[in-house]
Amino acid sequence: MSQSSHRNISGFIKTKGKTHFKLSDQQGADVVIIDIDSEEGKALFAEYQNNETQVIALSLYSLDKSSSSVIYIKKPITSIELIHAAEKIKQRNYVKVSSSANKIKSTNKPEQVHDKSRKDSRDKSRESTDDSQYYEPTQTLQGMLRRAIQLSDKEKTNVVLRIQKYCIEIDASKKCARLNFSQNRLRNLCHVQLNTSSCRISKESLTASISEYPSLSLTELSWNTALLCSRGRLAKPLSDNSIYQLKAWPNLTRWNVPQHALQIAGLWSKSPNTITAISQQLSIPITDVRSFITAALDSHLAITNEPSSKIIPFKAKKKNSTLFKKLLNRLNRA
Amino acid sequence: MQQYKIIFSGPVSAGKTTAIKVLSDIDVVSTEARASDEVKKIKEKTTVAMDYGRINLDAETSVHLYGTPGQARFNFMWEILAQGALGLVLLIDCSVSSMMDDIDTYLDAFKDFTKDNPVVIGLTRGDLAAETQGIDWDRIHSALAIKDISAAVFEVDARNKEDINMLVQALVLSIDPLAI
Repeated sequence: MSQSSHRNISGFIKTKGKTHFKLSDQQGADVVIIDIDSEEGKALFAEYQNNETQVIALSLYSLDKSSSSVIYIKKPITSIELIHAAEKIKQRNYVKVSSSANKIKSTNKPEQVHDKSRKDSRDKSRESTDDSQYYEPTQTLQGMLRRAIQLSDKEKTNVVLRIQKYCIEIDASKKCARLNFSQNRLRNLCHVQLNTSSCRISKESLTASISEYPSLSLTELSWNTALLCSRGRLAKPLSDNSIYQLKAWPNLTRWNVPQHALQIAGLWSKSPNTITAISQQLSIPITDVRSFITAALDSHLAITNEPSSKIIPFKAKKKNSTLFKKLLNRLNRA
Repeated sequence: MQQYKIIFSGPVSAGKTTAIKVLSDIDVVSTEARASDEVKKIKEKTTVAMDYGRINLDAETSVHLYGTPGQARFNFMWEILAQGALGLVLLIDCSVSSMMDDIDTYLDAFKDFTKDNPVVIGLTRGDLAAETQGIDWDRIHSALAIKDISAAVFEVDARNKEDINMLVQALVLSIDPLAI
């Protein structure tokens, strides 16, 4: 999300939505935010639903029926919720555009549907991957954390990373970190663009004040941070078509995970693979795979393979496939 | 009637019986007896033969859940129970200092089975581990890599249905990731 969008959303929150935006009659908006508690809002909402515009609906009531064109947010809203909703819509639009582009392509050149070669998927991805799908990790907490871990490892001492009042103490020798804030706050910090003046890294230890917080492993912290920074994008210089290998499964029951994480890990553990191929084979949004692989690489649960390395496509055996489907359905339901 | 089975194994007091209870559609059949050896320091009763539970998927299909006894002296039972199983769920108490040895012992005991079948590892009592040194994921992952085992390792609470469900889902998706 661009800086200006961030500013607009922050302004929207500060002014309670009353003065920051003007009601517009223009129909070209990508997304419309509507307060649906008022009569006027309700009428507008109905109007926008008819013309399939993406809507973020704000309400005092918990309306858990978000659809493909509407995301509901319960009041009081926070800028984070609004940013998430906007990003979700952005991802949906992206998936829509890339799937319709693929449809057009397959209508014109049906022979390409059957061509599963890597070269073809590389071309497809290049068409659909624009600059907004990338981010520079060095300008995020992800990059700063990497630097702090490297420094702690190199100097064999504790290192503290500070962003305003928030501190992360790194002890690379014990492979653990302590945070002087709750892990929920990590999400906010991962949304902020950082540089060396807004984020200071120094060789020191925080003892008394921070010891009351439980320590967590650097693997977990690196995974969570990279995942929250990625948000469906690729950390530069990763690529959708490079071959990555999963060395170990992440702790999916406790760490932050993208959608479809179990399936991604299951398939990826079978063979080194590309982001594009995993997304296609599992028929899941590529954004989920990007987040997963970005986090896995950053937490050293995965490595980048040589471009010449082999991908062994997974072929499901028919034996027990019905049982597995039934069992997974049952476990999901429960 | 199609019958399948999943094996739950691990040391004494790791949560095998509890995990099976959480998943089972029937009352779990336990062969618990009053502990007579060093186990009585940990708990009053312990499984001596096996635990048995069942997931009924439909009238024709069910998955049997077998829990092995934890003590090493019953290890002759482990392989017998594992024969023909879909996979192995290994539960390990990660708050004890012997955690790495326990992983090693059980993976070695089941090494013939895990050559051709999947294994997932649930680390229980992670809350207690967090109070001390936390979980050393690097060490666990390295130990698995040395044995050339690609197993999902999750922190779980054996009493938590969601955790145990996820562990079994990982087991199934390790066999067929396209099953969903």
